[in-house]
Amino acid sequence: MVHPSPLTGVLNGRWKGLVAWRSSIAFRLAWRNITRDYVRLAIAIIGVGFAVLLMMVQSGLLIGFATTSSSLVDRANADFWIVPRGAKDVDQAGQILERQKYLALGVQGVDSVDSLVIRFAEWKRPAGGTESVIVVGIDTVRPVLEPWNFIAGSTSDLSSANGIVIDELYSQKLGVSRLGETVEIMNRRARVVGITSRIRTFTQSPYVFTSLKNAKILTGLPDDETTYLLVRAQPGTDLGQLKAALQEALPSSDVWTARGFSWQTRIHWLVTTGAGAALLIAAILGIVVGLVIVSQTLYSATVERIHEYATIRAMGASNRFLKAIILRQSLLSGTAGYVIGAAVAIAVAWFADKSSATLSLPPWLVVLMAVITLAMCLGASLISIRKVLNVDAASVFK
Amino acid sequence: MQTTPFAAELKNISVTYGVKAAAVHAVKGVSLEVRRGELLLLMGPSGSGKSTLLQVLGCIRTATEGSVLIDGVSIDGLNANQLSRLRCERIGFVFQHYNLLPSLRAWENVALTLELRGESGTPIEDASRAILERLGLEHRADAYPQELSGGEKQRVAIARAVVGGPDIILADEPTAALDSASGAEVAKLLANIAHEDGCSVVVVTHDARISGIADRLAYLDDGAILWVRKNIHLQDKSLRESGIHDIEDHGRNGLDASFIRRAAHTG
Repeated sequence: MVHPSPLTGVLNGRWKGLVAWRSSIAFRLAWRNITRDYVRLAIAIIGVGFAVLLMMVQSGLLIGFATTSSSLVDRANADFWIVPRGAKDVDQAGQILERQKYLALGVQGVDSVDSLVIRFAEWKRPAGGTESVIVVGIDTVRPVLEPWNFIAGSTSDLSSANGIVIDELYSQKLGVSRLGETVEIMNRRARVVGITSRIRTFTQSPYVFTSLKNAKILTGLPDDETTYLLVRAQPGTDLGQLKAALQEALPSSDVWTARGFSWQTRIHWLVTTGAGAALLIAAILGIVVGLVIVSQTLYSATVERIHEYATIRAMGASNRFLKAIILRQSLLSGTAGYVIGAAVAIAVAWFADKSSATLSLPPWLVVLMAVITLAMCLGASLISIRKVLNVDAASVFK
Repeated sequence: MQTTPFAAELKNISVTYGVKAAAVHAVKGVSLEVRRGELLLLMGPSGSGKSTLLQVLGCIRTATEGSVLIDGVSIDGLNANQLSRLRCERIGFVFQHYNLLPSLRAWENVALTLELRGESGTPIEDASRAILERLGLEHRADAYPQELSGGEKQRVAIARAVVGGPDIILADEPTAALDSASGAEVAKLLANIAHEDGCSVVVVTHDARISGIADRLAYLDDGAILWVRKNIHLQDKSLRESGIHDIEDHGRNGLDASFIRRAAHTG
């Protein structure tokens, strides 16, 4: 009587197939082959675990940096960003004339246009010394962008004179210990009216939210200038056509969709600065390390048992059966390594969440890493599979 | 359906290793039939080609010349996977050093044969334990090979070879590593498999205990079969001792049959 193959088992009864697969002699052989030598097993698992940890942390940092760098763009409720010509990222731009707002409002399909100031400034620490900060000036009446994750205060508190909102992650860096504290920015006084949680910046210069008017004062920006104009379209408007119309109306500026400017910011920071390449190289290095370690441990185990494989071949095992034993061994140790590596990476991400570092591990990344680990284990099996398939069955007669 | 009286046939088999000046002719023009349900011994000095012939018979080694028929069907042209399939279904092996897989328990070693044939689940465990019980090893079915004695290991190996109901069992020096009692037990077991189960058993051996219960003996030297005969007792190592029964003419191997008869009668 032939039981269903694992695949048929999934179709005809998930558990029946899995039980048959797990209780098969081939599975037992693969399982015991790898668990018989605890040292070798530990090496393989640690190798995969390290590779997974490295890949996930580097990828998590990459995603974290990317999302952090464009957080202001992603959080804004706008369809288009009108930016100074040639601006490459949201944190570093020149200025444009405020009157362009009215030119934009004249374009058919535009619902509203709001100013946004984003400029670097110098923060004077109470205890001495200065820190670079990024002042973000918003419309406090009808904010198209506002601080998020408040733990004290709210956006409306920014309406008060000189009010600013900072993030708790940088409070120590800025020398701020409590709400209501008075500080100095560009030789002008400001008062902390709100504190947020986990609003990080890519440049490590903390965001300081304030009113539009106050931002211009603090950064010395003339009243008739601003950094960006954020445009909201009327419902049902063709955004492609509107973008073209805005660009035509504002030839001295660049018009981006919100999504486009978000990606532009990410690409600029990750590619231009080399940060992305460095993280990507480290992630690839993780894959290579895992591949080599698993490949080596599996190969040495295979060579050690080559006589057994020759016996199985002499008994009439097909290529598929022999491959399956090797693959099972690789996948079993790979799975254990992945679980450990992923668990440690999640723990690292949890600790990083309390710091200014950005490590993001979205569910899709966890799944992607599992797939990459699987591919890595399969790749690591190739040399061993080749060895086994070429085994001389006649050698068992010696 | 069995249409031929032979479980296997070797027709003019030659096996050569290497080329030109380095060529070694391990087997030279051997023809031999393996009858159904017989215990056939292959005997001869070291290097005479016994193991090579066994490998060709077992579809593990491809002959340089000649053809092999299993159950009347030629294996010429079969690829490696097809030959593996054939071995899996028709041929069982018993090795001198048992070749049990140390990671598998005794019953699992036996069950491996059935799993290779595509069977799975509880039935293969039941069948494996049943055959071990038949061989007196039911109490050792869950032991690992390293926990078994030599005789027990070889009986497990025999169980592994027969559990799939093969047409032929090929045994390479199955008693060489065993003590006297265990060796006799294994020899008797192989004879029972041949005579009671109808499975052909071909044994490469120097063990006189098996020759005493074999149906036929084939003697090889320098890659060729010198003679094949029935029920010859070789314990006194003398061809004259048992007299001459049915000597098969192996003139096709290049030897004069009358020479063999004369040699048998002289001192």
